[in-house]
Amino acid sequence: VNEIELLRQLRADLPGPRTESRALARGALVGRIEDSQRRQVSAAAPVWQRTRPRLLAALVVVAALLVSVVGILGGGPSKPGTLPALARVAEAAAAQPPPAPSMPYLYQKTQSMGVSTAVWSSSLTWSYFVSETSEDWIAKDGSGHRHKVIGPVKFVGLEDREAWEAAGRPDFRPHAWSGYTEDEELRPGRGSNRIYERELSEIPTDPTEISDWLMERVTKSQNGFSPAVRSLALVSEILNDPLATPELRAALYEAEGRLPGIRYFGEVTDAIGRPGIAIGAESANSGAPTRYALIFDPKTSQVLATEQTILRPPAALPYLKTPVLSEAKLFIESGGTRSVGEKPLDAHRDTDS
Amino acid sequence: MDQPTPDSEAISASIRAPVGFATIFDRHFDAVHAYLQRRVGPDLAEELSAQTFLVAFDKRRGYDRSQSDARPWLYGIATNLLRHHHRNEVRQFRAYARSAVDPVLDAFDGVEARLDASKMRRELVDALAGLPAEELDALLLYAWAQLSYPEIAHALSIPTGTVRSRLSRARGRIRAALEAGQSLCQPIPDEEGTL
Repeated sequence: VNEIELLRQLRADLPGPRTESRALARGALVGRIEDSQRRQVSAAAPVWQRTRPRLLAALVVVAALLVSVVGILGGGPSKPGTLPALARVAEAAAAQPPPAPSMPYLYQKTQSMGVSTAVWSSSLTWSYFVSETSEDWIAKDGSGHRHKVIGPVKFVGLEDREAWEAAGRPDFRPHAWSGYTEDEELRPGRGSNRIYERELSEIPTDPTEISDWLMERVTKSQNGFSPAVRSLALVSEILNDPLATPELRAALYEAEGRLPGIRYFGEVTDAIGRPGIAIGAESANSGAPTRYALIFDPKTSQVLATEQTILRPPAALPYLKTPVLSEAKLFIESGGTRSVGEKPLDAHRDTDS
Repeated sequence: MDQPTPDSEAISASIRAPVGFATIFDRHFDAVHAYLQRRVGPDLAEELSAQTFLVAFDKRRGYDRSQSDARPWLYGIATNLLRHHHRNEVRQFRAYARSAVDPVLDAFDGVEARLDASKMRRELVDALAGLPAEELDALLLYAWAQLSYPEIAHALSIPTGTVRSRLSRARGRIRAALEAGQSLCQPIPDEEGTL
């Protein structure tokens, strides 16, 4: 008797995997893939990230850009409508009151939203949002506390819900359906903003001088995204900093309006329905043509949100319905507080709703 | 008709577009599950086969692109995961040899765990229980996963010559056990200390 043949007869006719267990395994893999995509996007595109070191790195790119704007193009706007629109916002920014006296903690409430696509089978896919609301209390040394509420899951459209139901309503994002909270103690250096307060005070307040100031910080930072795209995140973060002076904010708006590639998108509403106007740029660096927008209130000059909208499906997701808002960061409220857990009395609320 | 994309290309593409890795799952999940189920039964196989693809996804950047077929790589990951369950697998072989009821078959609802009266088969599983883990892995990748010697070498990250020698030793032990009509292995106690 051939021992291999005998071995091959052993347990030879077992049933295949149960449909349910196969679906669960696939769902676990899809969840891992989505997490990976989210990390990949975060790593590749520091557009909407909050940490100041990354912002400073992006500053450098803007510096290089401004050098080219001033030195090569003579500083003219790339689109006729861009500069006038931002010039008016700059006037509004200059008219805002100065920042409140420094407080021990900087409080900032933001909401991030991201769209993911679950691929259940070649014929069953659905896209959905997972939101994350974050409240940060950051001290000058970067220490502090972060309270996050993650979830709930929301389907992008009715077709997405129907596809999920057709798949048997699988629990593809455990825990995120009804929302859950996370609390994190931030060690010194981990916080995002006030540790770099000194750098903020060193930024010139003249639009032309900002170009020189940025030029001094040129690095070789490259991540494939155009300077116009990266400038949006940088400018949005500085504009939203409670310690930024009206002069600085006005100058930044003017400088932003001169960047090549920056377009005026006109009147929009952000992901939670607040009206504003948008400027931005487009790039296909993430794998699909995508519009990156900075949305602000033209009356107060406050930044409301940064948003990414995928305009056409990437090769890996040909079935994705577009245009679709893929990422958004909404600035809800900010101000100074005396302690962790306290809400700012002089909070700036970036909302009309 | 278009040729399907080789696994190596799909894995390579998934580094930039991770969702493409689902293709690897769709192609090979059933085979990996079948192998694991044959070794440790349906319950543990469900867990380990899902885990295999999660580990594979995490390790896809290290995939050897000269290997167009991902099966050996996946079986290798599955085999590594099985290492933590070797005692359990041996215990099941032992139980089968002792009682003539295969615990793996017995785990299925609606599948009659028929009494296996074949003395030769019971001697076979008893011999399997006595094989060193590395020989058992090589033997079952060959017999059940139907991998070639080079594929087993790739799966286990060992030279092909080592595969050959492990298989030769394993087959020799089994042949000897079958010819002698008794197993070569010593009884091992279960967790309760009973034989």
